Amino acid sequence: MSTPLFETRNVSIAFGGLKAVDDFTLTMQRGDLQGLIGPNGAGKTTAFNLITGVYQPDHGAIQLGGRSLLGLPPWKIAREGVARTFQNIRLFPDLSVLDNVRVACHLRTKANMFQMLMRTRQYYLDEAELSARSHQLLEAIDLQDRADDLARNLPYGDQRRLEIARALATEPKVLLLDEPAAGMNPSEKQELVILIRSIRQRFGLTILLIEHDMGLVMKVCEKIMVLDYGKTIAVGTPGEVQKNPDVVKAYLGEPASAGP
Amino acid sequence: MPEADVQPAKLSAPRLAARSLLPLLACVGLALLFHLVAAPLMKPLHVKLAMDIGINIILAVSLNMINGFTGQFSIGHAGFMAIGAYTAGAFTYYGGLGDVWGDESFTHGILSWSRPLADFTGNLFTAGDILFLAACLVGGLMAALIGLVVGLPSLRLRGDYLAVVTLGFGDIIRLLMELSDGQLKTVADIQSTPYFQRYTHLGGASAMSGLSFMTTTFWVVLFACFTLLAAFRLRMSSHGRAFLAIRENEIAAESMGVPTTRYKVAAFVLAAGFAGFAGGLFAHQSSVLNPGDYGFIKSFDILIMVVLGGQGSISGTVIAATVITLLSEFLVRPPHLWILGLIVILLLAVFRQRKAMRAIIMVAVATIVWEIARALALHFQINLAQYRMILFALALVLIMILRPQGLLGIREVWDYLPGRKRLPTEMKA
Repeated sequence: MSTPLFETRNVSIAFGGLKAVDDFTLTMQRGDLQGLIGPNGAGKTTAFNLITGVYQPDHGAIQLGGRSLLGLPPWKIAREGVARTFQNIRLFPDLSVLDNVRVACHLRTKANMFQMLMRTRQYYLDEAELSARSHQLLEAIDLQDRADDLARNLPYGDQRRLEIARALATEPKVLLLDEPAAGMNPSEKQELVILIRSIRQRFGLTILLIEHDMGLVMKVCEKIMVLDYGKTIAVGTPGEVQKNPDVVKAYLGEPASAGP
Repeated sequence: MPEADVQPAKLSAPRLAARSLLPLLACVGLALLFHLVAAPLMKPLHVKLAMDIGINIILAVSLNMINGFTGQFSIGHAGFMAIGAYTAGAFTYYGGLGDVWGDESFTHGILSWSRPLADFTGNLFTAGDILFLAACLVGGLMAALIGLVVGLPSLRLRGDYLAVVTLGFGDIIRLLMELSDGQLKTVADIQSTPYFQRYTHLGGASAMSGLSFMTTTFWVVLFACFTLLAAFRLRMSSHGRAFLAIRENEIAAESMGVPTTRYKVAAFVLAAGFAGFAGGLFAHQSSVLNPGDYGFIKSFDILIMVVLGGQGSISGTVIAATVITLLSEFLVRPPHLWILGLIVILLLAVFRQRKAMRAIIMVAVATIVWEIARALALHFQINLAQYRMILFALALVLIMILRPQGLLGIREVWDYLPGRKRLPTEMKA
């Protein structure tokens, strides 16, 4: 078996006495689509924050294509090829839809500040390339008609999809989606499933998905990892995970024992 | 300003050169036009006023790069202006006069004073211009360097640290200048002082006087235009969008690969550089280096221009810089403004689609208040200029209540014209 595209080994972080993420170990091959679920406060978003450099783990290893991501600031990790969306939408609200995507293309541009101020050929090359690419991405999420609108004026579901397009603009190898279906209606969720599958195919992505909507997770993910209180309590296919007694316990609590 | 339609593959070398350089040439043309045609027709007082406006535009537009683009809050911009002014002033004074063959009255050296009198519309170029421009450039670079030193530690942190640091910084610079040694006034004194020691003789609290009047309307208009061009090019570029992204959501920007600290520092250094250059122009316009000119009040003035115009709006900042500079002058001799008020109301009625009524009422009220204040001031012989800071502070409070996003918010003037596809969206208060 070849070395995995992306892996974390025994990643842990504690906030004071609270072990938010404990021995988080994850392996993903190119093209994997894995789900990360767990009750509220299980440490899912913290795991994302550890991977993307927002927090530094107390110990453990995080590698992308054999290169360690430990100690890198978030912007460097984005350049290495890990992009993410946010649980609470973090678009650039007063920039246009197009500009939201174009900002994320910035890390692949070559012109420096002086070339930009003098508008040399490199500047025009960069701008043309990233504009074309941004329009392509907006087409992929079907928002090209609203390119000039401000991001804040988009409906909620569109904002979530715009976040995905923005993350794609960084040309990631690994895409981390943090509750992309939150606040969506059933038909939007249906479209989201199609979108996730199509971008994975089209951009050859490896996707790690946090989601509370079990229907959606079970439908799109091939493998699911369950966290509870920072600990990994189950890994397996959707079918296996659903039957796992620990998982049932985490979500529904202990079966009622003989009371006093 | 429309987005450039860019097809670089088809962009031939001459067309590329035209696109890159024509705006620069246009700036030169505009400056020439102003200097050779417009300025000679104006009264000297108005020429001086126009130069003040130009210098304030450079200061306000550059501060807008920090406060408007990257959304940080710097309130010590006059400090950078002071560094530029003192560096450039000392450079022409000691460098140009003491070293390079000035005589007793400092008027006949090769690189020395070529403009002993304030003649802002005089000859386009004189022998001293090379030294003068070099001095302004050195002043700008020095301010940028200090900007790096101030910005690097304080911009690593999020939040209001920058405001606190820049507030202190502005005052420290002013105090340092006040504590500097007395000015060396004769060639003999200058020549008997070791080279680097001369630059500690900056006049102290009693000011350094007798700088050469090198700044002309040509240079002011030219560099105001350059500053505007740089600001617009920045805004329309990938780097500028990264700046705006930091303002919009720093965490998201960082996650999208924008090195936020580096870019905040870059904006800060760039803005400090422009402010330093403006300081150089200011010093050689007034011929005096007075620490009091660069105190908190000046920083506050520049800040008001940005806040009033709209943090993030370049054209708004230009309008506000113009209005506030004029207002300072108007307070001394208050003119009638009702004709101007009527024109603005008419323009608003013709061009603005939404919320025009509210804007019209505000302008109408402002005009009426002005006319009443003018009548009262004339009747009771009150010098309104004495109450300038009170009035400005009051205006700032009113803006914060009535229109917290400033005159234009984060949009530009032309975003409000009819026929624009994208309607301006008001920023939430």
